[in-house]
Amino acid sequence: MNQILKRGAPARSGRRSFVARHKEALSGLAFIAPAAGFLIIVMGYPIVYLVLHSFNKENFANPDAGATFIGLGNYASLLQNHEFWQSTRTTALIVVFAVALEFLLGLLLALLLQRVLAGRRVLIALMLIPSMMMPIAVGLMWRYMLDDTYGMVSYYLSRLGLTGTDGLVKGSILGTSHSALAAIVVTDVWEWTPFMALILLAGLQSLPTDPFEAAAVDGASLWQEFRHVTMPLLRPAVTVALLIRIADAMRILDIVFSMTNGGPANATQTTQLYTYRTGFEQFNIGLAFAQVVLVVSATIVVCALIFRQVAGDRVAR
Amino acid sequence: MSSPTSLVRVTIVATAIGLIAAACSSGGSDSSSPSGASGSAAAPSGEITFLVSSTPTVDNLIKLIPDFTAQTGIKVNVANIDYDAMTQKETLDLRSKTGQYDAFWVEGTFLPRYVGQLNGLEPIAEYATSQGVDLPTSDLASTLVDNFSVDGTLYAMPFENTLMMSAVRDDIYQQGGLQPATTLPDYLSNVQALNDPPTVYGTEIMGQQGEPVFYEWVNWLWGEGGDLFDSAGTPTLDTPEAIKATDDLLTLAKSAPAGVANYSWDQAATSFATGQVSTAVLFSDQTPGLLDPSNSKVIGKWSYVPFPGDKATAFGGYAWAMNASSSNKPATLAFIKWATSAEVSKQLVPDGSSPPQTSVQTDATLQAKYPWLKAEAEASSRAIVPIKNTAYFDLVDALSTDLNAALTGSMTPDEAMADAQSKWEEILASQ
Repeated sequence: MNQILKRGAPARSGRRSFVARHKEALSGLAFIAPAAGFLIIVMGYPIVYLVLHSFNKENFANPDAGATFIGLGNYASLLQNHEFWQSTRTTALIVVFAVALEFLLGLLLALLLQRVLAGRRVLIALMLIPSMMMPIAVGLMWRYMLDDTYGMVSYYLSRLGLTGTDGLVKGSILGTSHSALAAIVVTDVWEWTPFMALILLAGLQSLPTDPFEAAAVDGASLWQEFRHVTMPLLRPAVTVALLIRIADAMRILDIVFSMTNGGPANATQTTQLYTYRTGFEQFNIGLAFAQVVLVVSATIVVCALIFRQVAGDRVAR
Repeated sequence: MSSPTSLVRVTIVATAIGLIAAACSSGGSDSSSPSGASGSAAAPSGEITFLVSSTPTVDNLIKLIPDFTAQTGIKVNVANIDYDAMTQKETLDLRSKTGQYDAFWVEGTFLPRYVGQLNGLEPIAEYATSQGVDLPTSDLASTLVDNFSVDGTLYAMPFENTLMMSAVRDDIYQQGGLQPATTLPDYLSNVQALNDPPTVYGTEIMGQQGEPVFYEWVNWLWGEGGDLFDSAGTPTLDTPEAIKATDDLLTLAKSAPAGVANYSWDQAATSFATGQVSTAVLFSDQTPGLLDPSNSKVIGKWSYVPFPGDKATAFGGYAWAMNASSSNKPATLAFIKWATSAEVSKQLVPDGSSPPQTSVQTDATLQAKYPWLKAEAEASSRAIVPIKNTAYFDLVDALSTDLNAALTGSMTPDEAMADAQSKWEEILASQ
């Protein structure tokens, strides 16, 4: 009996001491529990619903057919689907080219703006107008500017000999596969470069001055200062800017929808447009949900890789 | 435990509240039971909401709604939204059976889904009969009635025709010493002869992937003697006629503005209205745009002529359907009857509406004043709906992608049709 008491006593005392030791943390948890629970329900339920229904063969417009569990059938069907892979490739091309151009131009703009002292605020406000516009309005605007008959941009491109029978683009810009894709990239770059510039400018302005003074004392050239001081210090801002834009560009829909509606011949159909068509035109909900799961998973993986790569060792630790 | 006296009091109070609520409720003309109301003398009343997507004719109809309200006392709310959003809302409302909208603006292509799958539309002719209301269906072409019927039952009342016809510039044809073509080879040679860019192009085509290029092409398919299916219902897209029809589109594109592979109906009509092209195949619901002085540079210079040959031409048409979950069916029926009446159609004709009623199309007085009606009457006689199938959108999407690929040069007509044939076989086999 004594032995039992002796064995039990330390355990009870351990539990008491655990509560005592973590009293502050536990009370903190108790305070955030309602908000955390609410978030889990609000965010978790739709995600679980989406994932569960992605295992069903289910057409929203045909309730009599019901939902049939087919396991990974939708995923297998997608992986064998030419249109899905084509739209994935199109999305990847848009993301790579658009975000790369936005980053380079945004960085250039940010560096220039950093040196502008007079009227910087006005310039920033004007620059942000494209990013404030609805993407669908931006798409429509560019569609009309690129229209072969009325479009201002088309007119000047043809005057420069870039379009037309002897030009680089033989047909119309939005009616030819490669040029239509390029037009979407240009439109996205036009809209989002200022946003990228703004984030990078904020990063540049928050950099400490000491390393730059030290570089100047050491006789570093402008390029050496940029390469070995500015860019390493700017990494956090670059990471944030790239992550936001990559995640956003992978969801591109409105611009494509309003400019080309995926044409010509599906050449500009992105994964989001394909998912929209599957879900809201064919109402094939099970397949559309599987597409969403795949695209979201791919976005998370890509962003995680970029995060580790760009943010470097500091984040890895 | 309640005493019998208190129970009686509660019952009396509840009954009184119920009677007051019933007296105060708007409408008062319920309609959940179509068969039970035939003996009711109460006139339809209350408030209804209809879902629609803007077209010039719909917009003109909306302007007339105050007249309807003045005549009947029925308040009509209009939800006027983008076409794609409208079809999605229709599907969601019919699926959820909430009856958010009492009436829908529908195309025949959606009926297999709305009726066959969602079972959400009221069979309007049967409902009207049960209410002792006479719908003038005998004034409609049989193809129109078929378009809005499922298994012989009419589900929506036609409101506007969308017939496909050739629109020609009379002045340009006259200058060129040409007559509008009556055969496909003549049509091709005419547009080539009149092609004089950038002043004027010989033609334009609706080449955009989706329904536009499909509807543009199917007339050529029929004109070349082909069809979409054989008598057994097997697709016939890889036939010489289908390949020739695709080749015809490529020939037309050579005499058309560079961007036609991306042209939808709106751009097609605009390019004709702005005087850019001499010949175009247009839908009749585009007529208002050709008559509108603020948009059209061709007023008085154009006319419709039948599509060459004596084969069928494609058409669709718009109609009003009643939601089976509507909470005010009598008022909805009254609105649909009014909106699809010959009297209202006659008011819409001057602005270019394409009336569905034979009596309005063939009205000699109207034809003399509005000459396009005669061409529409002729086109009505050979208009057919290309596809009636629950897989309509999958079929059109598959075929139109290949047609668009042929137009943009990424496939030859042979390759495009072979690919479309295999896709159609796959889609139909999975049904």
